[in-house]
Amino acid sequence: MLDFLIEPLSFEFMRHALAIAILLGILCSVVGSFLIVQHMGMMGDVIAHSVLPGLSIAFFLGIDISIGAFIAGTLSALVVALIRSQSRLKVDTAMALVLSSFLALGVTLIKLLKTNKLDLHNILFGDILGVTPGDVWHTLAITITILLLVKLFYKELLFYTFDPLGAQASGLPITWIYLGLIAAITLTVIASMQTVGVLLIISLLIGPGITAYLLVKELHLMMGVGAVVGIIASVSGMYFSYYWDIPSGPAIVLVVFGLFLLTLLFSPSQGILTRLSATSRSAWIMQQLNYLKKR
Amino acid sequence: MLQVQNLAVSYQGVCAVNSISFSIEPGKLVGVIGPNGAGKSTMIKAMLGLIGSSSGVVKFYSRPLKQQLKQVAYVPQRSQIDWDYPITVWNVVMMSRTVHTGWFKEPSYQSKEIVKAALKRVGMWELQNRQIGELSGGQQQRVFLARALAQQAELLFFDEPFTAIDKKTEEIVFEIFFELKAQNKTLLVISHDLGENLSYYDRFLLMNKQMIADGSKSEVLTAVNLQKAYGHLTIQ
Repeated sequence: MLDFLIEPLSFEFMRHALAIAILLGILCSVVGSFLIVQHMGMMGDVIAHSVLPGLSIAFFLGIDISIGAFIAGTLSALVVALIRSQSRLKVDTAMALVLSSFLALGVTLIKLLKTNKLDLHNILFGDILGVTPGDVWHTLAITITILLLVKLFYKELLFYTFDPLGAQASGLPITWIYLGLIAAITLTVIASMQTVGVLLIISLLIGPGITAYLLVKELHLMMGVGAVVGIIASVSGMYFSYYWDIPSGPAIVLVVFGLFLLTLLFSPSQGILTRLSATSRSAWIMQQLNYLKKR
Repeated sequence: MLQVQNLAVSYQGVCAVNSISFSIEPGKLVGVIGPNGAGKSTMIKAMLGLIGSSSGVVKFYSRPLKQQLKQVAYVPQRSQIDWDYPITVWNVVMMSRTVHTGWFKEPSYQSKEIVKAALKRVGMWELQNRQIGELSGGQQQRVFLARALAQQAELLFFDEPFTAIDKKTEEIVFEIFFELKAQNKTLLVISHDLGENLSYYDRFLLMNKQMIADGSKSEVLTAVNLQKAYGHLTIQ
């Protein structure tokens, strides 16, 4: 058993991948929790898909692909906001349109600009073999920065995500807070791209958070418990990826789903099975009471 | 003194609020009434700058209201709130102190005392650690009332505060409205069902897209005015 856990660590790329996995578990849970409580889960997916054209253009121009990804990802969120405010369309339709259009543009640009060296398959599904020490530092920097900002602005973020109108009415600059959240989501996507892949990032963003949501009743606890779930999922996903030779993204996502399913069934307060047994328990007690009364 | 001049709002070419003007003295409880879709919420949102207005000036003590939002407490309609949000009663009321506390700071001891007093005033102190979804409709409304109290605002807006609440909560709400009035604060309360509590208000603004009548109960609630606003003679 111990060998099973230790053996992969003899490879440098695996040590890097695991370091990133732990960081992503924390980062995605914190940022994703804001998405969940704002009912913006799909926004994470839109941004994740939309970084592709930015990657291609940045690669073509020879600049850091993260910068291209950041610009394209933020732009997609702004386009969604624009369509929503300037038409009668609802946000879900605007997101569906933007997501597919940016992804299509990205794939087209990769072909047209001949940036084929960008391995599309790895970008879409993640690849632990490609994790470099640079990626680890990158992810560490993003994680620390975002955690620090969340800590600093927590009370404002809580107010805004709970009651945006009330927050605006009390004078908080909600446009800036919204843009800050979008930037944080985009940075999280960039940090996760290499290991989870853009198609599947959404799972790590919302999965640990909603699992925690079934267990606790405050946002900061949701982030904390979510981080633990996220770390367990991403680390064990890495091991599955290593031993079964499957892309790391799908492996992590399937573990996330497994943990969510277990919680949905067994959560002490909201689990399907625990709830059932609680009702049948109370039914049993009522039965006993009636029986006693009759006697 | 709250002054609204020629406030107008339109959504994609459709007029929602048409050239509304009124002013309110401090220490008044004012009911904003009118049928569903009359633009009552829209008017208040436009006054606070929560949505854009196509024209109009809103001033509070001769200065634009939007520059002194710290003086404002706004309680949105219950439908605007996600009651499954993972947050406790205490933290909802603590939100009222966000702007007072300022960026990068933790709420002061004084802020915590203010929140505690507000929770006690509305009878929700014992339930401070409950998640808001675990409360009844009336208790939820009292939490928001406590939040408005703890904001220590001069100008208070309530959007349909009497929806889905019990008799006890209604009594507490009116008691607190009277206390706030006595402290010379200005209260604007939207309601489409004023029922038996009409006499509690000092003044009514009856509107349907535009202002139909503005004045005391006997001046506003006349057959002619109600006919104009509702198209029939009674308030539903």
